[in-house]
Amino acid sequence: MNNHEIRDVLDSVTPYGPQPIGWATRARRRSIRRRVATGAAAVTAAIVVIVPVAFSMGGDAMLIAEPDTSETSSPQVAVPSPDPAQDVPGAAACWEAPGEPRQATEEGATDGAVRAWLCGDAGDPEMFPGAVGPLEPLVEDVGEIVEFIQQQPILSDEDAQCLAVDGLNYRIVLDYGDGESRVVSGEAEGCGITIKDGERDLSGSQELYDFARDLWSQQRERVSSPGLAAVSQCRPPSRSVVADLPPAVRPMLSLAPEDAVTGFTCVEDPGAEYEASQGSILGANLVSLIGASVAKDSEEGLGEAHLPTWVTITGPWGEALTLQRTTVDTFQWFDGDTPMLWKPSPVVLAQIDGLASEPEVSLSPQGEIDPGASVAEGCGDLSAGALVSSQLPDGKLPDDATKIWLCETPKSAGVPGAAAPEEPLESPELTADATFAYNVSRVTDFDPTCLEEGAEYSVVHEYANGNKYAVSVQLSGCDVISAGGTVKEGGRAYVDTLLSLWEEQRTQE
Amino acid sequence: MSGTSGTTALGFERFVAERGRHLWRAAWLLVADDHHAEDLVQIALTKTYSRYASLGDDRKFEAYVRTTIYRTFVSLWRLKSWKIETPRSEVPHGSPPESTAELRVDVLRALSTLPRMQRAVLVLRFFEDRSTAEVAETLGIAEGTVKGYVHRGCATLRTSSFLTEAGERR
Repeated sequence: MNNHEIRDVLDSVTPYGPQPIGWATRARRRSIRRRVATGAAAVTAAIVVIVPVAFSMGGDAMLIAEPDTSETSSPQVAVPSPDPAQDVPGAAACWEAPGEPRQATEEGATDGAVRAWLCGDAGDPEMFPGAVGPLEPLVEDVGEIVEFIQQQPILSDEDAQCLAVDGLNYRIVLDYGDGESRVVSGEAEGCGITIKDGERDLSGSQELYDFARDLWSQQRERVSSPGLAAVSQCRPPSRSVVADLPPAVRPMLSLAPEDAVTGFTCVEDPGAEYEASQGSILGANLVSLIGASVAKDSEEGLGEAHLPTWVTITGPWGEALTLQRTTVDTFQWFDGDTPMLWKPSPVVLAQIDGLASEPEVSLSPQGEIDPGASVAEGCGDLSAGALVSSQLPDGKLPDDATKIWLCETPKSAGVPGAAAPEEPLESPELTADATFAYNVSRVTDFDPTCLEEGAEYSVVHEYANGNKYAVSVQLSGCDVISAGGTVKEGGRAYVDTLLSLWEEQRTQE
Repeated sequence: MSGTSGTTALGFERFVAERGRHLWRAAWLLVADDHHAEDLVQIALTKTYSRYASLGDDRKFEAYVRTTIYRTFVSLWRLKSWKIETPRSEVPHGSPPESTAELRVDVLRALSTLPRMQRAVLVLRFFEDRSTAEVAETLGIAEGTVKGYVHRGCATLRTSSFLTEAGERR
């Protein structure tokens, strides 16, 4: 059988497959549920007293872990709690002592591990740039890692000859119920072959690394993030003044810019080499704008120089992304090893520089901030005072809304950059997703005085039977959604979700 | 196999309607089960949905979804819910009239003897008709590794008793 015949056989035996009916809706709903849960958990941290459990992802981020105090949270699995090291990057389990990373043990991986940690080589002066692993342990499917290791073949003599200059050294720490730990080491990128498992040298290191990272990613999709509030600790992003070097520390689980939830600015201290001081902590709304814009508006490229200021944005699990300023209006960042240039809009740039108040809503009909937009058609009742936050039937929005409007209220009108879309959300699938986003948001306790702060918006839902329901959203302060007497958490995440549905509708036009 | 219409984003709903079945077919060859194939595609679509608008191009987005499908399969096949099914003789969705159920079972049995990465490489290389470079990029492995897997995988299929017997029966 030659290659053509293999191709023909595979094609001929493969069924035509089912109609993908409902697949898009299901994927969107799951994505929305995940986004609403993550965004709510992350922002909730900002409004309660910070518990001093400080830890570091390396680079700039010094993050404070905030326990999830919501009574409605019901994680389906044991919640993996971050356990950061003090003064060195990564999880505490990765270090014997500051500056002394744990090494592979003489005993290899055996069955019965209950927890695993993925450790990088950041903080090792020999490795530059270094990688930092997740701060939280793997508590699900830990046995899969052990099984994977145990089934790898013995390293061949040929593979043992591989020498690579560049690469990433990682370790997997396995904790057992009796308190013992075993450490397996490997290498990724470079040769990506050798696993050190006790006294055995195995091959398959790159595959093990990829497998481990996927298990962590899967775990994160199943549990809520720990809810981190950023407190800046600024270190220069690179040890060199050369702009084309990637950041000194890179996370093993990279951060998608649009998933950032916290951020801060830094400025390098003049005359103090490799020292920097804190600028300002960025609000959640601005971080969301920055992340979305970085994801959408960046282009591959290399800055010619760098200025001594940068912005760091961090994700809900602590991974950080550094935006190094290269000119007054351009920033450099790295998507893996790919250099990217980002040019923020003038309004966002002004926010970063602290020259103006923070915008609350980013979307206008042209996608640019458009202050002072006229009242949208469906918001007329709201403006006239005929429609207020509604008592919903059984506390839920019916999912067959014919039109949905995002409306400014007197507290948002006139705020620079606070324009909402003029057109309604009308696509049946997308309006159903919008009501779904409200219905899956979690009820929360809140401090009523928070409602005095921040901009408010209303989301007006119209139905074929003539009913209208309005949901109020506050984007700062308590960051809540309210309808009738019910208050839910995650106003910003909810509005972000709605705006993404508007974007989806516009691509369909 | 038809491609996407142009290089613009036509909407996530429409993308799934046009390309969902094709993605399912590739997933089916990986997991040899109708429901697991749909699960695999759903996982990939859920993971990638938030990037649809920012990518702004259906062809790029499909490449992103495809990468997610294959990497999810390679990395997560060992989880209990992802055990590769023993090929069954029952007829799955919409069998092409010219193939026989027996040949399908034989092919799937032959594929099931391959390690997951080799299986993924063969499906990408031959069923999806991707170049060596594209396969390497999709799976995050070196081109030399792809060539090695193709060579070993094809050799295994050619000498597979399942396919040898199938050829003799025909």
